[in-house]
Amino acid sequence: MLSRRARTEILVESGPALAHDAARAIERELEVRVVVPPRQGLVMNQVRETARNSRFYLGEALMSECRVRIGDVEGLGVVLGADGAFARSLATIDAAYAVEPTPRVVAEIDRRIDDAGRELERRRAQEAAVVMGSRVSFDEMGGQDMSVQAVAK
Amino acid sequence: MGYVAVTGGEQAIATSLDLIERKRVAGGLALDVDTILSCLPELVQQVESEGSLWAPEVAATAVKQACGSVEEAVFLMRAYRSTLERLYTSRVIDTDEMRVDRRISAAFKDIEGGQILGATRDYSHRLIEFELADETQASVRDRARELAERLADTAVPATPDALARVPRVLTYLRSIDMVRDWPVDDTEPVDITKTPLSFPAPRSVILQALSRGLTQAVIAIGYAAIRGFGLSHPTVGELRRGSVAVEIDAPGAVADAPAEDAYYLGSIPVTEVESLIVADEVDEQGEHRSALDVGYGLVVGTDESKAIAMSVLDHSLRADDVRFPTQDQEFVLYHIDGVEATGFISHLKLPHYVTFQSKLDSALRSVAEKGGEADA
Repeated sequence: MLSRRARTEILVESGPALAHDAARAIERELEVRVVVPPRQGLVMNQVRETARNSRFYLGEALMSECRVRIGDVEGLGVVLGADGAFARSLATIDAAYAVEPTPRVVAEIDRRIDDAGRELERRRAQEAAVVMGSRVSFDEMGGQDMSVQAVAK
Repeated sequence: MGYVAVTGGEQAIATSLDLIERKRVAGGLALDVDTILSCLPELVQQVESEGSLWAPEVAATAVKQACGSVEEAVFLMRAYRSTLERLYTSRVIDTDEMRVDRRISAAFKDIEGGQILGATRDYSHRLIEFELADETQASVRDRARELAERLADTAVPATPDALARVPRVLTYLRSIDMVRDWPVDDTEPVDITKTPLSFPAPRSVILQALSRGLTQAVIAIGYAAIRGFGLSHPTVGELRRGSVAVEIDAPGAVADAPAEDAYYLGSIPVTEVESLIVADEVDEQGEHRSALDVGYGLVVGTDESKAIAMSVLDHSLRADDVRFPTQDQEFVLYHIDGVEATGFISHLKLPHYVTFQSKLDSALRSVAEKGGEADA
């Protein structure tokens, strides 16, 4: 099963439709209670800079959050932007994955997320391929070797 | 001398607000937010960068409300931001993980991973394309199709992560001991949205203030630092542009919680610059030697000039040497914030009746006294 980091990346990058479908499937089988209704807020982005290896705050981003419960298990849904419904569906999925023993519906959702992950990889590879078309091929003009490796030697 | 409260002018103010709104709608055309996001992304990003809030739809709406005034749109963003609760602080973003769409070096021709130009105007002719004035939605779609076909022809097969975790030029310079390898510094950053500026400012304050600074001010002061009013003349070791993931730990998670348990919220576009400046370094034995110092720039959005200027100012402000204003933290950091600067300048339009009367009285008295002396 995918880690939460991998799962939430695929769900967020695939857009809300996948999460809404999965959340509806869960709600048909399990009782989902909203603990914190969808709300908007901020996440402060902290960064490690590469000159001195220290941390600083780059600035905030608008986000949506929702918390739900399935039985005793709480799920959190968080996503950049203002989309409370998306956050609610993400919270429902998060809670379903935490229920033990793993409900049957989760296995089917995991398969769909896996498929979406492959589609995300295909799109990323396609975009990388297009961008790599702008990689410079220098013509050799002789003279000094200007590569990093030459300097390192 | 004190302030005197006055009333009146309510009707005039109400009419004034109607007049400014009339200007917005006078053309009879409505610009929808999606169009602004699609056609003016760099304007929206500038508003987000200076507003210190990544929220594209909100920034586009602010641009619309402000009729394209960046100054006003940034003010609206900062005001909006102040109405929202900060729910989380992200995990520390490691820009090594940036998914780049452009990375170049002005220091070396051949770099591991290659010089990837990406989308840039650096090689464009800078001539106005007058045919854009007659562009239609259909012609835009045709152009997009044509470009997709052309780019498919030049595409180079790549893996999904080909542009993630691209090697850094700095890594090589550190390997040959030309750039000092600093240990990880996990000092908690100071947040300038919660703590007033004080000097000397910690590094985290300098970087946050520069990153959200007024774009043209950061560029202008950075330029001054290079041109002779400072001591920084950089070479861009690496400029990379792309997106970085925003993640949070699960609520209640222990410090150093595993990355796999984190929540992914999305990604934001950033531009990062590492500038190299030749510097005299003193080692542990007290020996002087030439080395390369690194100036760091990171901004939200794609403004490369701002990121480069930020890297210049990061380096010059480390000197905190007031012989040059560009090295004076108070001079730079107090004056580059857009809302601070435009707010103060703008307030000069507000009534100063009493203070001005006082100045005028004083000047008139001085003239009268001098006149009396001359008569005598």
